[in-house]
Amino acid sequence: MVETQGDLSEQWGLIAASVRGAKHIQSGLPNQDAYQYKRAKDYLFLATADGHGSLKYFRSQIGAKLAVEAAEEVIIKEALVDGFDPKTLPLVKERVKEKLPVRIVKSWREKVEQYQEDNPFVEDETALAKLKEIETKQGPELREQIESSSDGYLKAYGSTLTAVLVTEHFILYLQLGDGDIVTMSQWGEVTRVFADDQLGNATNSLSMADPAPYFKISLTSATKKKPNLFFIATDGYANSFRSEEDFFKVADDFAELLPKQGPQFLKDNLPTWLKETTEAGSGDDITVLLAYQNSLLTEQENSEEFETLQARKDD
Amino acid sequence: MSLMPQAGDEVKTVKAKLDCKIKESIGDGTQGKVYKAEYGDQQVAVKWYKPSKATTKQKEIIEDLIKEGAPCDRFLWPFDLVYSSSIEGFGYIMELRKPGYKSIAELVARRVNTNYRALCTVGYQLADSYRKLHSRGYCYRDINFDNIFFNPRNGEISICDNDNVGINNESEASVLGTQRFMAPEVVRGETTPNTSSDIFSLAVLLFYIFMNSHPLHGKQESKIRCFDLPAMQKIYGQEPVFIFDPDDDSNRPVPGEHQNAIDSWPIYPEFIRELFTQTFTEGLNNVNKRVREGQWRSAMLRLRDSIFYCVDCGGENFYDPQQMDKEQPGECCHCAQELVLPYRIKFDDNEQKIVMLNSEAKLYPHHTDKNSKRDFSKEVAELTQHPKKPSVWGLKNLSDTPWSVTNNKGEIKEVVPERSIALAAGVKIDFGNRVGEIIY
Repeated sequence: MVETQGDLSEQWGLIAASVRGAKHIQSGLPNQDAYQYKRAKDYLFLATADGHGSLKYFRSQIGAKLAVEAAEEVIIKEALVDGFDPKTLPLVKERVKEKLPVRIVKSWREKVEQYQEDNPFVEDETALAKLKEIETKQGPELREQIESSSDGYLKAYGSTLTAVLVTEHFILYLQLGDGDIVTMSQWGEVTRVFADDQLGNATNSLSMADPAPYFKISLTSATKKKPNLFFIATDGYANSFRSEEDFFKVADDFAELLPKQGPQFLKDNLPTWLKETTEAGSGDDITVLLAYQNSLLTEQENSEEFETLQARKDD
Repeated sequence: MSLMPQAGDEVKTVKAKLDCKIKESIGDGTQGKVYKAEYGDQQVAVKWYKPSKATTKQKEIIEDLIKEGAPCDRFLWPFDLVYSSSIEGFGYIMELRKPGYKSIAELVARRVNTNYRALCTVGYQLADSYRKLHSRGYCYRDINFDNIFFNPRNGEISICDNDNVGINNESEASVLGTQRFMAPEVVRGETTPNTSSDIFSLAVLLFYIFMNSHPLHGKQESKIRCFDLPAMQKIYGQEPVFIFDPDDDSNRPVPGEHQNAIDSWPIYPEFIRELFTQTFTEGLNNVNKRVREGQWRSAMLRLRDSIFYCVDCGGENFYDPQQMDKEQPGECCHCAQELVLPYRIKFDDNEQKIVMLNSEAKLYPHHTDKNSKRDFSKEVAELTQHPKKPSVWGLKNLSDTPWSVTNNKGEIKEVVPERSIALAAGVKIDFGNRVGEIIY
């Protein structure tokens, strides 16, 4: 018999904000990030996607939007199985790692194909202007490849994807390309779920020929090590900080502000803070989705107790 | 008493009674932990069982394996038990995996750069190793892609986790295997793993290595959600259908979902596809119809000999005498340019004994001597370029006996060691007890 945790939508709070990058404003580019979240009785879902910025990815804001949509549809459908037995989690992991990326990519490609069919480049003045610019700046071959090869149009929609699904039994973390998933444990330990092991500026992307092998997936039991707080962010956020330590400190700040000022304060101010961050930092679009356990809001008393214990330890 | 060893702990081997110093943990499983360790001046691996798994029965199994010794040196086999007065339970000591080796899991996830030639060697060595294990009366029970490691450069393999090995149909199994590699009768609970189910698992593993997909993952599997493991039992146990079953198209691979299978299947020669088809159709429910390790062993060597390179992109392709027109062999599986067949040599006038004479080709006793099957210990011949006419290729005699060569005019000539014979269609070389004919 598995003990249930009750209504997840009552346990978790959510705050989301997305701002257009300072450099995007200067160059007239739209906010190419997208995000999606859903809080239900039996799950909490969050996803961000960062459409690539360079010229050939001229429909990447659409690609990013379709990426978070595909992630939500596929992940929720695949993961929410009636009567799921948490004991099968170690065995399920292998199948999830093998199949989930393939199915997300398939869904994203179908969505992009549909969008492309409904909005062909030839009927879109912006797209034609971008293709002309590509031809001038990067040569006619690239234009030819994007416009005429069988799935060359996918390139224009290139995007990363980051998603988290929390259920009563497990937490699924998934990432393709740049971006960050940062968790804070019940003991205040802040960690990045996936190490940043990509070299150089090129990012893994949904528009790659075969992106499935490049997905990073982590599936952990929700009964043992459930974080108190986590956030997912597009890379414009981490790139705005001087060091990893400074970036990690954001989680501490969120955890400190939530009980002190309340979630509404964060909701009201996050867009402004992110705007200031992009202006002073990366200049890139920034999207942050923050999820916290509601119990965190009432833990001030406990924190005093913690300080006492800490003091005793120091003695 | 501690439950598990810590870095710096000393444990003792039972037979040799020598100290072994535990270093960092290199693996963690359900049965125990594996550590790097120092044993004299040797770097070794120590597996230590978790207290609940350190049973007397498990100890007896390891003692038996140590006594019998490894079937061949590709098995990272236990060579002594280890214990400590300050740590609960016991462990065993084995050779450490060589650096640079990658797991088949990494290969299947397409995170390893390798080539078909190396994969054929992996396939050959797997079949050969399990044949040797089975001929001793043992079964492996848990063949899967997490316990096989290989060198991506040359395909040499190492087989780990040998402590689940047991006597076929006798000793009780502590593992049932990994579901997707299990034979249908094991999934259905009709039997515990045995050599016949090992042979099925070997075929699944080979299918994964060459097709990058599972032989039963098709339309039916695409309807099953990722997290619904119980539903997969139907695919593996109750109603298994091969995705390329020639008589049943109900479980064909789905584009986008099983694309690797769709793309890979046509690349391979018919003789390879026939073996997979036999195992995963008739062999699903009739264990006697499953392709044996010996058949796979020969097929893998034949497959390796059939590799040739596209003149445009340099990509590896397989020669299929049953399918390829000699004049128009078809398109390169990588760049779709027209292929050109290189010179090749056919032994004993047998279509199954053809070696493609690529620029780096070498012949071994395995090819040239009827009595030296699978002997790759020395080179008998290699391809050479004419020193003054680079477009002329020859076969150099690297053996210590002369060859008797008959040209296409019927003239006989002797080619002594270190000399070469120019390649030309129709030339026949008598290597002693086997004749090879050059074809172009």
